[in-house]
Amino acid sequence: MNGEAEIHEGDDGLAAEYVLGTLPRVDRAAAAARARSDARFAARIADWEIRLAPLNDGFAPVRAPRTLWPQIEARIFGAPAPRSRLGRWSLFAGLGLGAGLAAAVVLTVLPVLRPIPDAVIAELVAEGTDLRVAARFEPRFGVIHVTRTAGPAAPEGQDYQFWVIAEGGAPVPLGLLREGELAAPTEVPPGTVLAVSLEPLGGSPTGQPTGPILVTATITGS
Amino acid sequence: MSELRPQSGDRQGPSGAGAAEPDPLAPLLSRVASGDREAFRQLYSASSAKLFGTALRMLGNRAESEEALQEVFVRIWTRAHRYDAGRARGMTWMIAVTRNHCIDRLRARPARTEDASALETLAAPGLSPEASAIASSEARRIADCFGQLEPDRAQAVRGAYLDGLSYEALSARFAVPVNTMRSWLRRGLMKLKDCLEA
Repeated sequence: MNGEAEIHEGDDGLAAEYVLGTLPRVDRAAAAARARSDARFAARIADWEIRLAPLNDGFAPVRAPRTLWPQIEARIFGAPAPRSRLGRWSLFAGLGLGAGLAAAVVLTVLPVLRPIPDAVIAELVAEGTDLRVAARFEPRFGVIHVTRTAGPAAPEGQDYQFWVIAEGGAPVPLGLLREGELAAPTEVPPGTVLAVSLEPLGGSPTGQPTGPILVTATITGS
Repeated sequence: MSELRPQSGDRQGPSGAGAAEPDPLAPLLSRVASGDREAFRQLYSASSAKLFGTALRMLGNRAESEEALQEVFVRIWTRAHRYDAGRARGMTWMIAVTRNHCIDRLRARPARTEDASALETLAAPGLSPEASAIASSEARRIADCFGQLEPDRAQAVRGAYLDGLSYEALSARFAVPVNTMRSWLRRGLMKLKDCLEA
């Protein structure tokens, strides 16, 4: 235990400082990024969160304003879909994904999209599948974070692939959606479509979707 | 990931499972992870006051705290599947989500604002109200371990954790160079860890 503790003291100190919150912005962002890909470092952070949790007694509860809950619900679950189903169909068909593919696409896109001051939240869903994918775009960092929140993992020998499709543009692959969070630099102006397709293991060999589009969301607003 | 936990028995993980107190938030979080909106509403009712208090203390600004709390609950909704009930109490995890978001906001602020709020929040002398709020045995344990730190270092750790103070703000407050403050805190934290695991 001692030998290991010595070897990793630097990491443990960094994890401690991350949890304490004192790291400068750049170092903090680097530590957060590392925690996403390094399970061991993430575990160190979680251990420090538990270790220092008794200090949470210092946070006195304050009743939140009543208006807050409806705002949270609206942000996550959204208002009634503003566009017609047909409208989405046309939009989708116009994306250049190909008629054959479009025919296989599961419909009824129920985007839950709210432009908000510091992030854009979208939930990718479709009728007939339990698969749900949450996307959060942080404009300050120009990074989108994507996570499968419900539904099965991709079947063995296949992968979910995440795409960003600029209005009038071709799908751009941003990565494979496996366990954990996918983070990728991008921009998502209004009109952008986010989509997840089912692809061969390792992703589409062509750089464009080859399998069915499973879930989508369209960025609305400004 | 659980095999990476330090093996220090039930003294480690004050919030871990197996504690005598049941954790009503853990089952709610697992329902939220599967997309249960009613569970999410109940979770909000049970935790929003604590999390709002957390944001208020760290950000020191009501409007920003409301905005932060919205973002925090969006994150809780989208990340609930990452919560591990065998590892931490539900509230511990949610406060960590809240603190992380508030710290990100604080670090994105211009330095001057931060310093001003630092002076304000640390104006209260002595060991601050949280000392009186300490109730649980785990909290007493950490209070005992804090007692072994030099008082100004213990206060610096609390100032960082509860008020989100940066190294710069802390070094200004305690009139020591930033590097000194950094080594105070690093050593202080490691001493705390040793004490908690002793």
